[in-house]
Amino acid sequence: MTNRRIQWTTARIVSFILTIVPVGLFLLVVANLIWTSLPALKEVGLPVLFSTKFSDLLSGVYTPGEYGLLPAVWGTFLVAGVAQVIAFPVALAMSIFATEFSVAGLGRLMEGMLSVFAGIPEIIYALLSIFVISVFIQPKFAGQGLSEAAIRALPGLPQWNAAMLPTSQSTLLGGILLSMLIIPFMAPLMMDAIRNVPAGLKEASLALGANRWYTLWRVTLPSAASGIIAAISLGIMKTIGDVIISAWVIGYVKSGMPVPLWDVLEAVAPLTSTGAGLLNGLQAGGSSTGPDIAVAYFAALLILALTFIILAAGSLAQRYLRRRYAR
Amino acid sequence: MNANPVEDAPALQLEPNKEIKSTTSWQVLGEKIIPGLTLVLALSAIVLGCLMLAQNSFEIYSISMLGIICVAYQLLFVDIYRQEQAWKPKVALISVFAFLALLVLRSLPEYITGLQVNGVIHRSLFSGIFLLAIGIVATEISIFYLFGATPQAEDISRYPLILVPVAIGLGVYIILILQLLLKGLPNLSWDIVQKAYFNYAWPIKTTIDDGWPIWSIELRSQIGLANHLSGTGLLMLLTTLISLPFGVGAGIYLSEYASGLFENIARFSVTALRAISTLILGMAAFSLVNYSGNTPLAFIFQGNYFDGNQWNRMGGSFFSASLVLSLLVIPIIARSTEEGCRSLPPELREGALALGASDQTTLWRIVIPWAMPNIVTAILLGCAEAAGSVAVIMFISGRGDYGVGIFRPVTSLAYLIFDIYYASKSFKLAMQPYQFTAGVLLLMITVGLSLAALLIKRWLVKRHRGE
Repeated sequence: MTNRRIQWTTARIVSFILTIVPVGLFLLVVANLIWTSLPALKEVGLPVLFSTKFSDLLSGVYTPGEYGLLPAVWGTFLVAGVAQVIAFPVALAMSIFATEFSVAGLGRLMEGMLSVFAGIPEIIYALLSIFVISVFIQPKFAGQGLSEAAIRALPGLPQWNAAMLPTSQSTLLGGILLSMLIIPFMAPLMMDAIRNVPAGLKEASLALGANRWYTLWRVTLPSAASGIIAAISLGIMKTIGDVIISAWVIGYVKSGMPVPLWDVLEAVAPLTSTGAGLLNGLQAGGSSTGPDIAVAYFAALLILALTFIILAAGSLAQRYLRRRYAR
Repeated sequence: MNANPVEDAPALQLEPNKEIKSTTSWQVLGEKIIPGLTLVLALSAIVLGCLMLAQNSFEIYSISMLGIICVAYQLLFVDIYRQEQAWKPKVALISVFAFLALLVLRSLPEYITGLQVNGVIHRSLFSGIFLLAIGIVATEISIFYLFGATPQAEDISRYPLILVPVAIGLGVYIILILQLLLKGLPNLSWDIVQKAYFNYAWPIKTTIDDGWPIWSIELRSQIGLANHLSGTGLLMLLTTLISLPFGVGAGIYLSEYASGLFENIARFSVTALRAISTLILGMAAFSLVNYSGNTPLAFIFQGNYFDGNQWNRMGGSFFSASLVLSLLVIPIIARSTEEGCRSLPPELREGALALGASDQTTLWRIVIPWAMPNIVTAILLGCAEAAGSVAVIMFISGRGDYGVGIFRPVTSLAYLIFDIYYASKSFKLAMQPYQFTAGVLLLMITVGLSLAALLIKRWLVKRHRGE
């Protein structure tokens, strides 16, 4: 008996120690993030951090000491919004196709394809941006085939000239590629949510004479709403946490707010790529100096806060929906 | 007392105009011919809309297509009245919308500016979107009337609304990946995989008669992907070795023993490690490498290389990279292991305990074998994650000139792809042709691993659990 007791505690202690290491490392990572970003508050100050001016090396008028992160925060929201606008309908259609409206087993094939696409890393999607540009962005938004002079003669181009048209970097392009990144994660979650709706509900609806489409729209989707919200919040979290695609197709720096605010054809760098650019020393021309590192860590801290806000909002919405459509 | 409800019901009366017709196959064909024709038109409008989004030159067909749809749906409107003796305004609306879209497209110039956006928008974007929207709704209506305007026909008519986004989405993935393969595969050869990239000045020591050393410099350079490929392999191996015990341990702890406050903290950490941005982990790696500075640990965490003369340090080592990457992989393994342990039927555990096995024996002989398919799958997915992750190692990576080893400067295929995009001119010129080749190799590794995870899980579940 004593022997068994000891064995039981050995397994318990070993697995406890194995658990405490990653948990401690995670807390260490967060503590390091907060500790390193504190100098940003001391040296730069909150009013500057939340201004709209960010010093841009490329613009020619480089003024050091401008660390306004507000355009980056707006860029994060903008790119997450564009990605959701594209990804949500497609993911919902895919999940409905796989569960309720499948054609001859093609739904299962699509599920397999999605699980393979989910394994493709971000960098491949960033590389694919080259084809998206040449097939979609350049012909549709940059006047491909028109000369510079012809573009300049067109009326109504605001503030930028023809050379600054969105050929390689824009928020729209980032949104398209990020939606490709998140669809394979969102669609399976939605499929699970739809499959977990009790069969009795659907059968009752069908038995009352409703057709399949009406049942889907009025019974299945409302009671799967909490799972669908979970998929959306996962998608938003993946979008705002992405670095590589944003850095590649949106860029590192945006010195002011876009005009108008919803202009998705401008490249409004989100927080992640701004932080990465600062840490890579893009602002100081080579190596990051002074408060650059602290501001980069502060940007990462903002992303962490945003992630937790979305996590909390998602779970609150799920709880509300689950109570509303109580099963 | 109680009147019979059947007797109370009003007598069934046949309306005079709804006599039972004797329908011949010719009459059926006559009823279906106009919905069928409009269906063909609407489908071709969808195809044309997709083509317009892909190619500007198809734009010239948009106005004639919309005109034909406008006329055809007026015909359908009249035909439905002929069949059902009732006007269906939905059908007429299609025709109206097609006409409005036609007018809008006719009045737009080819290049649209002045919407306060920084772009020159081509008209084909609008015509493609209009044709797709009108085409999908028109297809629904045609199918609805083709199949006899019943609730079941409505179910069938909703298929295009679901199938078109799915087809466009999957088509975009497949076309882009095929483009990548077409561009990357021609440069892929056994030669390029075998050779390592380097480009550096190699000091050569010669002595003249008095024993005085004379240094000269030889420039050595070679183009290849060997270091990056083996670096990816080493990264996957090290990350798996580090994260396997912690991941499996955490998974077993969470499913078997966890309770109280620490359970909440551990669960939150495992969730948060998957949810937080990889930038934060990249910054952790940056801190780890930079703040180890001149401490004795610097040899472990910083990348060391021997340039022929002395040891130098540059960036981070493979060890520190895989240490931080394992923070990304541990939650995958932990979550999957926990899932596997929880799916164990309680009869099996109770049976083992009833036969006198200790808890530990039950754990080793019953629980872990049961969770094995999940663990193996998670390891493969974690390897794919480690191979494809750039953000975690982008602040500490090197270019891959100095060989591959646990304490050498870290590099990987994924970082190479990113690096070529931002690199200096000479490196870019040398390696640009192999950017897509590296992409194809990385795609093969990651897709191969996730396919293997799918198949192995199915095979192991069948073998271990007998399902």
